[in-house]
Amino acid sequence: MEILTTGIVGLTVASSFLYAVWPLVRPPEDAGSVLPDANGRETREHEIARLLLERDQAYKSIMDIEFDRQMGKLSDEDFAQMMEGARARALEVLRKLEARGVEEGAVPVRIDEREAGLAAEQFAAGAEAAGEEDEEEESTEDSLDARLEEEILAYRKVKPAEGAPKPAPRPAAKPRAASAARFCPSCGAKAGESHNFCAACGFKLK
Amino acid sequence: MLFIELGSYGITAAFVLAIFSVIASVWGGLSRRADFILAGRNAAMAVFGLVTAASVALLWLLLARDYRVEYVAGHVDNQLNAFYRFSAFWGGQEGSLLLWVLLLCIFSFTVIVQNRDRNQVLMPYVTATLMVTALFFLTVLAFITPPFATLPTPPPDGKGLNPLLQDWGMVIHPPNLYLGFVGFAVPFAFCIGALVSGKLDTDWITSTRRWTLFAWFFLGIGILLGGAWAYKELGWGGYWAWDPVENASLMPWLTGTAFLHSVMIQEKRGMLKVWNVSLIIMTYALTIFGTFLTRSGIISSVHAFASSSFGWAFLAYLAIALAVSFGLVIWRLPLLRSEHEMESFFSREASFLLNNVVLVGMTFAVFWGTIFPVVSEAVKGIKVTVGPPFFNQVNVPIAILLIFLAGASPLLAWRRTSGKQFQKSFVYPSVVAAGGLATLLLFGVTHVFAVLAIALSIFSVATIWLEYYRGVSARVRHQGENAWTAFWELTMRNKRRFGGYIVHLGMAILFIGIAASSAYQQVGEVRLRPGESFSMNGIRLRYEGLRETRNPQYTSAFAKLAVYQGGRRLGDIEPEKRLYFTPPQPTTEAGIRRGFASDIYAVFAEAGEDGATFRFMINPLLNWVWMGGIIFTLGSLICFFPERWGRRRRALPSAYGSEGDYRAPDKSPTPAAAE
Repeated sequence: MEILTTGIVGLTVASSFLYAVWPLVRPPEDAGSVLPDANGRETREHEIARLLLERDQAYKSIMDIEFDRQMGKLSDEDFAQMMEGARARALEVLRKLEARGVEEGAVPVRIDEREAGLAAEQFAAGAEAAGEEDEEEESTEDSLDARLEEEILAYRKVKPAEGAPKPAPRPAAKPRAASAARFCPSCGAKAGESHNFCAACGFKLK
Repeated sequence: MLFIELGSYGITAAFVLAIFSVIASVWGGLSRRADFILAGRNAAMAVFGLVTAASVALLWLLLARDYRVEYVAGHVDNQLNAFYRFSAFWGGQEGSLLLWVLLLCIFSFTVIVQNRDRNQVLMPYVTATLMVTALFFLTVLAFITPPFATLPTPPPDGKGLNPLLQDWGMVIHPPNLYLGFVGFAVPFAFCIGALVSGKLDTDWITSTRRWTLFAWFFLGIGILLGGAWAYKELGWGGYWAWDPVENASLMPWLTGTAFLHSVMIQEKRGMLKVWNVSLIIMTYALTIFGTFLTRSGIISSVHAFASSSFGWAFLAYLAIALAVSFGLVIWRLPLLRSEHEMESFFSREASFLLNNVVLVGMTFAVFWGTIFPVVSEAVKGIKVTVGPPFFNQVNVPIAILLIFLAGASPLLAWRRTSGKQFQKSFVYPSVVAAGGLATLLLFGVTHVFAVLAIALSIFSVATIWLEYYRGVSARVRHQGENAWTAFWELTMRNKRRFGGYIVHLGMAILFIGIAASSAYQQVGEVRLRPGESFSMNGIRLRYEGLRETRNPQYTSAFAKLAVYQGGRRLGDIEPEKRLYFTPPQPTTEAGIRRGFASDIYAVFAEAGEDGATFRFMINPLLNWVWMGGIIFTLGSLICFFPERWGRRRRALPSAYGSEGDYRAPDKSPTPAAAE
């Protein structure tokens, strides 16, 4: 009986210790899931997950502002100003996502962090298999804008009713043949023709 | 012997592994070594396994009444049923500390699994911080109060569980509080992770939002259950006595409430970063301090169920934790700068900030009142007791301000609210509140604080109603839904905001209950012979006689009282007096007739040849306290649910392509994933 007790207790304790030191004995081959990249930043996969989360939060804050206006808490002037800032932030995130190869509609908008993380993983796995193709960045600001509009609408499940007021007091994205290049004088980022503020740094353009 | 050995060696091994986990995680994080990070993580998992094994062992020994173990002999006896033998796990010192570590290990395990491939910059330090906390409690368990200490000669019978703890409320109240106390370790650990790694964006907040809510919710429920228990079992007719241990649970709840509000400002506006990290550090420190107050016996309290002399260990740990945490904050100050300035006093963030200041002020007042006896003893050599009058005097006005803020802030928009908008929003709730005020005065309610508290609670309820009204009508207007659908969708789509409003509603109702029951409680003490009656406030109570029962654990005497109102018999109440055998101790079970408007409360003090002595109380609106608690629970649950739950599926307009519900894109493989 004594031996059995000693055996069970000994085994439990020993296996716990072994489990703990095992990674030192057999170092993991793929460190990607626990280590940041060489510059101390996140790995691509994690960065995309975070950006997707940021995107959803940015949409949520745009919706909040709209909602505050619908509830009569914001004057038109305040609304316009806050909306401009929030949209700039959302565009910024979308731009970063695009630069990392997340195409339009690749990952549906969800306001749930875990799911966003999962979706990003799926995406990252798929993208790697398909061969990195995030070199070209030729989409214009306007298409980004249109995409934002569309994704927000899809998220809100709102019918674009005939008489419904446009979410933002700005003209809808219009297709442009040649993108007349326009740059922000403050930070140098490319800016859309119709933009009142720089989407990257918020500098007033008009 | 198996379980005793398993338990004691398990704790010692867990102690060693916790040290290993801390060192490996920190070293792995700093030197960017994946093998060390993984080793630290595995060690934390192993600690979880060992602590679980030790807890199962203790539970088994309690259920098996193995009196060789000192803790078992001290907390159960032959008569105690399995349910209370189970709850004896946290009925004493060693067991409750083991429960602390067990919960912490379960949470650490969950956090590690949740973040196995997320937050990799923060995780090594999160693991380390959680394991440092575990390490402290394991040190106490391994070297100061070992739960598996054995007796040289096992006694034939145990000493039994404190009779006051033999109540279902006491079975669920302590684990609830512990869930809250321990839960705050998770956001704290992420905060430390963010400070050490320098990744001080909102990730540590968004990753732990649910954890914070979880801890805060259980702490709140624990406090309420404690109140419900005190009301029924302690027999003085109230639910809150500003007892040091009650205060110990209230303080982290207050700072946690402040934290829940102020993180929203950081998420939305990138402000108050230093404040937020400080708040969570304070909350964590207060949970440790609370455990210390309960466990050290330094301050006399009704909760002195388990007291000992190892308080110094807690204080030392607390001092180190505070010094290290705030040292990190100071080191990282340059990274904690605000991204925006406060733009207007009439803004949501300004009102949240004010609410924070008020909550922290209240915490400080409670803290000061709680430790003052100790301080005065140390300084002047006289132990001064600080009683409820002090706490009420200080906290009632603060609480009233808080109710006002809870009502006012939803009316303000982020960043700024123009004067016109502000007036427009305020008129309606103010009119309603003024109406309530007039009604109260008309009915002769003149207690200043009660009137103010109730009127402002009405104000608060009116703003919530207004918010709902505006939201619902906006949806009806823009989405063409009917009012009920709009109501449901509104709540489900803005769970955090409207869940929060429901919590506020619960708090307002709770405050009304507290105000009315404490300002207008009626008390009468009387000696009655069988057949005699006593009248108070239109209620007549007739003493009908005594009934005695006996069971293996205690004898009890029931006094039967018939309740009449205006000549009509409403029913009976039976206050009870119990005498336990082991340990010999009397307890009271109040007889309560609960009602919407007031509770009739009777305590049976003693009985003799010439009749029995009773204390009667009429507690107006007391049930509103519990009602408020239920609404509070509901609101918290709504906040807690994932954002997408409970939303109605609806076909997308054809402009967006598909016929199916809006989730259709999720189900079909994404273009990238399909390849």
